[in-house]
Order: sequence, then C-alpha cells, then structure tokens
Amino acid sequence: MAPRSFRPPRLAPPRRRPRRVDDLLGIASATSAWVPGLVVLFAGVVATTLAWPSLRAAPLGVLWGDVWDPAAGRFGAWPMFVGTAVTTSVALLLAAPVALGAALYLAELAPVQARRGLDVLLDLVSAVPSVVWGLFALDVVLPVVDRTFRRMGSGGDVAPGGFSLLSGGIVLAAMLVPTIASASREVLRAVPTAYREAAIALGATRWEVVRIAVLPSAWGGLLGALLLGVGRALGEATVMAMILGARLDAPRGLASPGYSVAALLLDQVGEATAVAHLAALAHVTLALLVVSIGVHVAARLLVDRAVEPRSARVTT
Amino acid sequence: MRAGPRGRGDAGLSRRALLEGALATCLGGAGCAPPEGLSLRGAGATLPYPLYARWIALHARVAPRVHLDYQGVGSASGLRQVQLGMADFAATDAPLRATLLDVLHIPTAVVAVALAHDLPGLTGLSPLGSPLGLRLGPRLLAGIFEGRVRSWRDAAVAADNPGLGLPDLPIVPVHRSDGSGATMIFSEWLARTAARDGRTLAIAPGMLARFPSGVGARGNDGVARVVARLPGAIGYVEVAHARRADLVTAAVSEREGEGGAAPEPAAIAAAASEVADALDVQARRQEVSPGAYPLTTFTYLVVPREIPDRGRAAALARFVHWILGPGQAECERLGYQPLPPALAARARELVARDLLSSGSPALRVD
Repeated sequence: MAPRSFRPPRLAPPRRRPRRVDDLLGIASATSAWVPGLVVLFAGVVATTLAWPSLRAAPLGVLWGDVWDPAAGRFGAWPMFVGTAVTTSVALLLAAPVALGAALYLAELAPVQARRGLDVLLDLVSAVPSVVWGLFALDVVLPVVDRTFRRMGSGGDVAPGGFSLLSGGIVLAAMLVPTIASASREVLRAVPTAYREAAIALGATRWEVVRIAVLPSAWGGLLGALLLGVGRALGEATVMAMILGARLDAPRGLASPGYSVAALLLDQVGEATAVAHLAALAHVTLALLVVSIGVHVAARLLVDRAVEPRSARVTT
Repeated sequence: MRAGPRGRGDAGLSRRALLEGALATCLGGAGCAPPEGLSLRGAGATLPYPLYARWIALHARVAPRVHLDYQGVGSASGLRQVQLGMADFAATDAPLRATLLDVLHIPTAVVAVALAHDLPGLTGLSPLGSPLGLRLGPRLLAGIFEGRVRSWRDAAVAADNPGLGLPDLPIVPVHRSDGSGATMIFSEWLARTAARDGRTLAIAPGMLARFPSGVGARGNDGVARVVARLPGAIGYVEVAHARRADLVTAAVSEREGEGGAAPEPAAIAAAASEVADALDVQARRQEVSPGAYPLTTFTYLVVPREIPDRGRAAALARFVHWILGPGQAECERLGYQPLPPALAARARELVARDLLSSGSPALRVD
C-alpha cells in the first residue's frame, strides 16, 4: 500500500494585524515595566528639590540631630530613625519565624484539604487595611501591654497606656506575618518537584526533603520575602502614628513611647508652613527612600553571593 | 444628570462628587438643576470641619446651584491649595502671618480648647450640676505638660484644688501629634501666661509645639480616645469634641489663685466678647477677665482678596456672608459658639467691602 502522502495542514497566511498587536503589547508592557522605576526616580527628584535648602545647609544635620521642634526651628530626626529601626527589628524578629513556619506548612506539610482553606485565609489577612490593624492595636494590644507592665510593678512613664515601641513592634509583626508568609509560600512552591522526588528517592524523611532539597534553592526568594516585610515595616505610617505615642525624644528602651519616621511625616506634613520645616521633612523622606533602596540592594547582593556557589554545585 | 459647561476647567470634580451634587440638588427640592452649576472647594483646618460640613449642607438649600465641598487636610495644606488654585478657600484656627497671596481672614465661629481628664477616685465637693473636674492654673498646666509635675498627688495639683481628694496615679499628659489649631491655642496661652508671670517655658508655641513628655495622638478624636481610656491622663481637646465624647473637663484660670472658668457656653462667649478686634489678626491675644474661659479663640475662613472669576467670587462671597448671618445659628447646635453679634456684623461688612472681583465688591456682582 502506497503510503498516503503527508499533506501539511493549511496554514492561514501571516496577517499583519496580530503582529501589530504584538508590537503594541510589547511597547505597552515595556513601558509598564519602566513605570515603577520612573516613579521612584521622580519621587526622589521631587524630594531632593524640596529638601534642597536643608541638604545644602547640612547634608546630614537633619539625620543626626536629636531635637525635632518645628516651633523653635530645630530639626533633628535621629530619635525617629531609632524608632523606625527598633520597631522594624522587633517586628521582623517576631514575624519571621512564624511567617516562615506558616509558609513551610502551607507549601510542604499541610494536607491538601487544609491547604486550600488556609491559603484563602492568609490572602484575606494580608488584605486587611492598616487602619483596621491600628484599631485592633488600640483595643487589644495596648491594653495588654499596659496591664503587663503595670503588673510588673512599673508605672508612670513606662509604656503609659501601652504606648511604646514594643507595642509598635508587636502590631507591626502581626501585620508582616501574612505579607512574608504568602510571599514565602509562593517561593517554596516554586521549587521544582523533581528536587523533592530526588530527595525522597534517596530515602529522605519529610524534614530532610525540606532541608536538603527545598530550602537550599529557596533561600534567595525567602530573603526577598523578608525584605518585602522590611519595606512594609519601614513605610508603615498609619498604625505607627496611632500606637507609638508620638514622643519626639530619643527612646530610652523598648517600653518607652517613641515615634517613627513615616509616622512623623504623616503627622507633620499637613501643617508644615515654614520652608525649613518642609525641607527637613523632605530631607527625612529622602533618607527613608535611600535606606529602603539600600536595604534592598544590599540584600540582593547577599542573596546572589549565597546562591551562586550552590547552583554551581547542582550543575556539576 | 448634570453635564455641560461649568465654572472653570475643574479637574478636581470627580464623577462621585457630580452625582452627589445632583442628588443634593434633587433632594433640595429645586428639581434637577439647570446645567450651569458652580463648584467651590475649601480645604484646611480639621478643628472646624463639622461646622463647615453642616454649613455646606444647609447652604445647598439656599443656593442649590453652588456645590461646595470642604476637606479637613490641615490649615497649611489648605492654604497651599488656595495658593496653587486647587481650592477656593481655606480655613485655619491660627491666623496666617505671612502669606504669598493677599488674603482675607474672616472669623466664622468661636472655638475653645478644653482640658479633659480621666481621674477615677477623684473625690470632694462638686459644683452644682456639673461633673467633678479639676481647677488648673497656668503654672500647674505648664508644669504638667512640661513633664515636671508627674503625679496627681503632687503638691502643685493640691494647691490649685484645695479640699479635693486626688487619686494616686501618674499624670500622663496627652498632646496632639499632628499639627493643629488646638495645639496652637493651648501652647500660645501657656507661653503668654508664662511670659507675663516671668516664668520660663520649655515649650515653644506653635501648631506643632514639641511636648517633652506624655504621649501624642492624632486628631481631637485620638486625644479624646486616649484620655477616656487611660486613667491619669489629661489632654487638650476642642470643646465640641470633648462634649461629644462625654469627657470631664477642667476649669482653667487665667491667673494664679483665681477660681477659673469651665468651658461652658457662657464663659466661652464672655471670652470671645472681650477680644477687642478679632478682624485684626496681627493683634496679640489679651488676658480674659475672671469668669471668662481663657483658651478661647476664633476660627477663620481664608479667601484671596481678589478672585478674577466673577461668578465664583460672587458665589463664595454669598456663602461667607450667609455663614456670618443665618449660618451662625448652627454653631451652638454643634457645640461651638457663634460670633458676638457686633463682630459678625463687622465681618459681614468686611466681606461686602473687601472681597473683590476685578476690583469691584464680589457680593454685588450678578
């Protein structure tokens, strides 16, 4: 039997329109990709312009000074930077283990039925707006902190009413857990199944699978998830303005009321009449921008250095 | 629905605002309005926000074609918006000394700041009919807010409140963390009384005065909330807000050793009527007599003296004129005090004479 000759299927002649759509899509998506960068750049330029009087007078003066008194024309935001650093660190210390644990459970260990429900729950919690957290903090966290300190026998200026950097850190931690957890969950799920199967084939236990197959290739992404949390913590203004106690003095400890840079900006920008005041606020904004960019760049570098040797080992 | 030409190229008018405007017009009984309407934006102080909101709602019945809107964004932001042409009028509780624009300050209501406190276990004789409150002189108040007087059992508190049983609690002074007219009124009074009595004060007065102790909270509501929940707290809150939050307020005396006055309507009105010339915003506040409430001032509406667009100028002038006339009746309902009648009349004259459009009085333009 003569083999039936193969007839290639008829292809439609190439049309011009789809390609134009492709081109347009390409241009549009490329533009969109540039937009965030340009926005940050624009924000930086605007902040620099506004901050110019302060930058020219003393490039670091606003950052080192420790008296912030707009009425007296003195602008030193050091206590606020300390407040931001302390609340962010406390929040990260409290949130990271919980968030990573939750992500690990959701990505690796949870039974499939539980996973679906918990996934939805996590996504819901990460969508809770800041103000709701703030009210939760005022009604729940502050009274608990207040009572705890009072039971310990301290009074007066120690966390009056619960207003303190510690409360700020605790609430911030609660806000960061869903953010970090949902990002980490995605990172862990992105690890190829083949790695896990290989480990299982070697007789690894569940924990060993996580340890030798999943975590090594996920470190970079997990650090990225933590950084997402740091970014949110640095910029959180609403809740911090509600529960830190808005104390302009340098904090004397975790139990002391304090302030954060973002909260200061939120509180003061509406009534900044003097040029020097506005310049100082812009200067502080610029510093916050530089710090957050710096944190990201530094972490990227660390991640790249930590990941490279490992991937080299995998390929050999 | 509304469509068609409007006063200027207003970019700020959202679809929602339009819908609301149309709805308000329909509800106002005028039927859906003719297409030419006018929208005026105000922005500024948060302290008189409830007043402006009420005035705007009521004014819509008088002038259904004029759509007004007020946002409490802070007085400095409000003025910035007026200067940039984004808002038509601003409002402030502290007269703005130096402005780029030639503006008019028009007093619209009397406002006062109360010292609210939460002292469980306060015992003693209560004046008839009022909840038991403290008496506070200027020196004691300065001491509390500077962080020098730290306990309610301090001799300085007892000295101003003879015969009162005070609880053994630490004092937590609560201040505004955001810039506000309330802070301005309170800190300027502290500074003025300290200078008069030859004391030094560690607090520089201003909208954002720095308080060395206690805690800060955002907005009148924020301070009221902290005071209501934290035993031993004392904070300054605008009177209408304090009353709405049902807080106990202290009697404040202008001079040491006087009985002081509680922030009651009569005492606030008395203080307002003692101000020699509220239209002269550069004038310094003077002392009030015994029986008048010291922490009293005016809230001002700020408009550019010259508004080129005749229609807008006329609408704004009529609104302000209305506030100073029939609108005054609303003040008391919301917990504020109306202007003394003589002052309201002079402010109306000021609007009729000095609010201009192309050089002629805006109120007369049609």
